[in-house]
Amino acid sequence: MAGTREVKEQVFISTIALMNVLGCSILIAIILLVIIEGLSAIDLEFLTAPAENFGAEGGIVSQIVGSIVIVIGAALFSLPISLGTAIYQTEFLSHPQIKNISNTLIYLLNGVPSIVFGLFGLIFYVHLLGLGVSWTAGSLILGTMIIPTIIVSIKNAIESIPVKYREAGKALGLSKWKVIGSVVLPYSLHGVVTGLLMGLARAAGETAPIMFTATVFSGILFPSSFTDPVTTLPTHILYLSFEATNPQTLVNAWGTALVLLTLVFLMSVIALYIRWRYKKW
Amino acid sequence: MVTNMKILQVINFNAWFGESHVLKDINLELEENSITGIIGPSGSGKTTIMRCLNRLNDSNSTYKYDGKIIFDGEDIYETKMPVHHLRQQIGMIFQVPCVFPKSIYGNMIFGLKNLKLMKKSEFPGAVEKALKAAHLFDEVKDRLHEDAKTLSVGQQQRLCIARALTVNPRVIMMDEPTSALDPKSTTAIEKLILELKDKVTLIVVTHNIEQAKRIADHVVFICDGRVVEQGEKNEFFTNPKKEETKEYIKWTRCECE
Repeated sequence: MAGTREVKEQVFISTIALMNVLGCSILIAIILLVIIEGLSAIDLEFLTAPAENFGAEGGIVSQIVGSIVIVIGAALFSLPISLGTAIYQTEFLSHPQIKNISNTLIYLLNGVPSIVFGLFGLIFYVHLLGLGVSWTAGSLILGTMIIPTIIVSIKNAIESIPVKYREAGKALGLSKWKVIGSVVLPYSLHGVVTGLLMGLARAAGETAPIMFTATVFSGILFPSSFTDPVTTLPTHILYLSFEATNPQTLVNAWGTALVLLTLVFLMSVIALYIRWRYKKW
Repeated sequence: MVTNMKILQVINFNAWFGESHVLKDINLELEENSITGIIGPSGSGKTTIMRCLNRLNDSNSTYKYDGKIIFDGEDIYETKMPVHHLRQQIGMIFQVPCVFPKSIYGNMIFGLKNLKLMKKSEFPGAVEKALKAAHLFDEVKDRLHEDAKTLSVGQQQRLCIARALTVNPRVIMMDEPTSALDPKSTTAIEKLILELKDKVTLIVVTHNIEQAKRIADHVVFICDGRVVEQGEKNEFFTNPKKEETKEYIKWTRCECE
């Protein structure tokens, strides 16, 4: 009897081990494919020249700049809102039910499909606020989308600050605001930066929310005002794949994908490093 | 003999955390520049009393109280004085020394900087004075900018005391300040406590009866949230009135546990 149980156990363990291998290999396969297919497109010209002939020739410098601009805008918009929300929830909101409700809302916000953010942005930012199809609208939409990610990261960092630091601050006679300024904020800074980078890494890769609110395929090099649209890396991939009749466009799509992947990975790796390096306890 | 002023008075004070009645009809009086030793078994409410005196329990949403605590003539729960002013005047030292993840100097100016008590140029002098008062200066004067965590636990506790002194408190409460320390550091802290009496009024919670005998002027014995007995040290230890007190002094055990 014990024999069958052991066999069953072995079978079970092997099955889940296989799934583990499968899960990891999917990631590795994606990365390898993007690298192999993308590298042939990438050279200095590809990274520094603007696109020509509808992406079949030239490079992607305006897409790189556009993505960076839109992501920086998203950071400037989402950071203060997230920081304020996280501090209010952890330091001032004591009513357990209200706390629960606002937690749930933020959690649900995180689950809203990105295309819905796009639709919301189209109605609210593009039309209602009159921003038009512009990088500003895109930044606001992406910023809105990543707010939950940043809030959760900041809140986790704040809640993991040992109580003794707060109490030592209070016992020295620091007011609530001083405790926030000299204990809570500095000791949760790693969470702020990590959350922001993870949110931005996600924002940088999003296509759906910005493809009809912030971006155009061509006709713009760099935005020169707040109401100019931009071209970005993910939307560029989208448009290039639509035109897959020309083999060179597809190669450039892979090249763009590799650049985007590198950008996003870089942000994630920095985020992980900061979380590991600056957590003081 | 000069009658000393009462700096802190606790009058018919009761405290609850939710349904649990943790302090029952507490009455205490602290004379200025005296050392009050609070003894009693763990869980008896010793720490809770101190955390009521500087209102550190306020952030606990289940905390309720009844009665009065008078500090310097004012009811601390009724006064318009902001709670952080109260906490500046009633300093607190924790059981496990709590140094911030900063340099020794950074820890020392933490209160000064945030409370803006003096100009920045006056910080080094104030830091030196407080470190000397805590007998730590000679040990750390050449390494003020090293991480405070590099100090021994005993040194960290003296750093905490020095840090508390920088903001000029009138009362310093210590919650079992030596229970995490070795005997040598314990002696150093006890000597320091006796010296500090000239500057401040002290409350020292301890579960160590011998420590109370060595340092306290006035001893309060608490069990199950109630003051069983209190009195002048010699009277308290040589001639305790209550059976529970005799039992506790002899065996460090109390029926109410």
